[in-house]
Amino acid sequence: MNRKTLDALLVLMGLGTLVPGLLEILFSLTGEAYTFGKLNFGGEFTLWRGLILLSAGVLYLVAINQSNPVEKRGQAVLASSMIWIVGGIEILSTVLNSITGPEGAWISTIEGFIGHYTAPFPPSVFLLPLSILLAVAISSEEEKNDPERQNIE
Amino acid sequence: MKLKPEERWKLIDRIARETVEYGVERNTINSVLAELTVKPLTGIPFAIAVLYGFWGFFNAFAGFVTDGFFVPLFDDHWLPWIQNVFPYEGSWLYYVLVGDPEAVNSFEALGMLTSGFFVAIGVVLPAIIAFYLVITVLEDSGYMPRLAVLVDTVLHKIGLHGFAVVPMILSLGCNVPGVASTRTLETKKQRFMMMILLSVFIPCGAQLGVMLSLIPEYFGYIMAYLLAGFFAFGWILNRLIPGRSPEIITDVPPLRTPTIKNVSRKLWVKVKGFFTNAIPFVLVGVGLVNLLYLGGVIGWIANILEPVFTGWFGIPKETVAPLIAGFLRKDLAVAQLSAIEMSGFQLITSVVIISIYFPCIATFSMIIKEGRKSGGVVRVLGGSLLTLVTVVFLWGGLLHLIGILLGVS
Repeated sequence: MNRKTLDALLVLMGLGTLVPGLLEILFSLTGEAYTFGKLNFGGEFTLWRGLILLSAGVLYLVAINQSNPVEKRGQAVLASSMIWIVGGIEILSTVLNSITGPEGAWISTIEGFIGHYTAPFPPSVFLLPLSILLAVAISSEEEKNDPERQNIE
Repeated sequence: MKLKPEERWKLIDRIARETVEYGVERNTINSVLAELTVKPLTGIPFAIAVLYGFWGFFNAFAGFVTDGFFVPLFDDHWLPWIQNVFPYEGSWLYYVLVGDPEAVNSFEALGMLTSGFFVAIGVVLPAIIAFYLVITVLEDSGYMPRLAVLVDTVLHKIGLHGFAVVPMILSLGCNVPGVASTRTLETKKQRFMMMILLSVFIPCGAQLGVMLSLIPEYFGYIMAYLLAGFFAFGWILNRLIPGRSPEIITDVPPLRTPTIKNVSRKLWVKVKGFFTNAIPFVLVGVGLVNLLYLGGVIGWIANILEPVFTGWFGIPKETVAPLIAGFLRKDLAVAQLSAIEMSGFQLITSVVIISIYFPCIATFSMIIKEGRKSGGVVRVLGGSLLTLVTVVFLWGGLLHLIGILLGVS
């Protein structure tokens, strides 16, 4: 991946993370949940989620100006890991909630189980796979530039 | 063999030549990440994300196990079964062991074998497992010292240093290991301060869990007021208590991937400790509270303290009994408070008072135990009681005053 491609990805991820982060912060002030198509804003700890996404977005954008390629990739991975934490917790909560049944039942029904996996989802769930792809691309780049590995090959 | 200074230096040089390898350190993503997590500009947002993940996991896992499995197990099977099979209904023994024969859930039964088991195994155990699992992963990944370095500046303002964050985080699970871990702090002053601040201003995981599930709308206000108290009284104690508050000097290890073997081993040791130390304490505590109720002791204390609670703190007289019971089980005391009719502000005040008026009996015992190493039991206990009384009257009274000024109390 050349520098221009990485910068373009960082711009996309930066804006794609920063804008939902800002929206989460704004919506948290109203205390209401909002749904736009398949995106959902609201619920517990919305303000914190918003702050984390906003910071991750800023970190992606700041990384664009970083002249040192390793520093640039490191900042991108740190921003991605912040998205993994927020998105990972959302997915974990969804999975665990889908297993337990309603009051009086130990295990959920098949309909109830599947019902938990239908949209809308919070923005971090959509950002999660994109940030993983970015991190995978960065780590493969890191491996390519690893002098020890180059010596082995 | 005795060496002259110059011989000693020559020996050091020789050992260094034979053992130390010199090379150029290559900048890798791992080393960049290790550095970014310590720098305030990037480290603080990441720390917020880590703490968010911590709480998110804690809530998801503990909620799943408690609400999904233990609540139906205890409420639908264990409670009705033991209410039916246990003999001597109406006797004091039945009241102490099983509790209220009409209770429909294990929270309200208040017996040793009902509420006692439910709280210890159904509520606290999942919380403890979730909590220690995350703490162990953070320790083994090398992130914990980074968190300590990041919060060092803030904690230094109140005479503590960055590693005080470990007892703080531990206390959010249970105050008992939190107080025990104060022994890692360097001076007697720091240990004493931390013990007091933890036991008063940091609610335990069980209490947090009950607060989050029963009064989530007030959770943020209560935590904000308690944290403000932590720093306000920390600042005051730092100026009043004589002693040193040294700077932090710590080795920040590289970031590593924790191994399943190490994490599971550490987790097992910690959970085993909970089984052997805390569960018997909770069961005995429930029994003791029931005996105090039966003997009329709690009613008597409630009558004496009623004018103070209603006049100074502005909370209804019915809250006195749960407040006294909170000495043994703060989580249940919060649950009892939520069933009493009062305004939102009074509920916030009552929960704050529950948190700050006295540590639970297990924490109190641990303060006595640790006090021996932190300036003597008498000094620590006397200082603790004096601080506790001052804190509860000042901070509780201030909240009542805020309520009066806002027109909500």
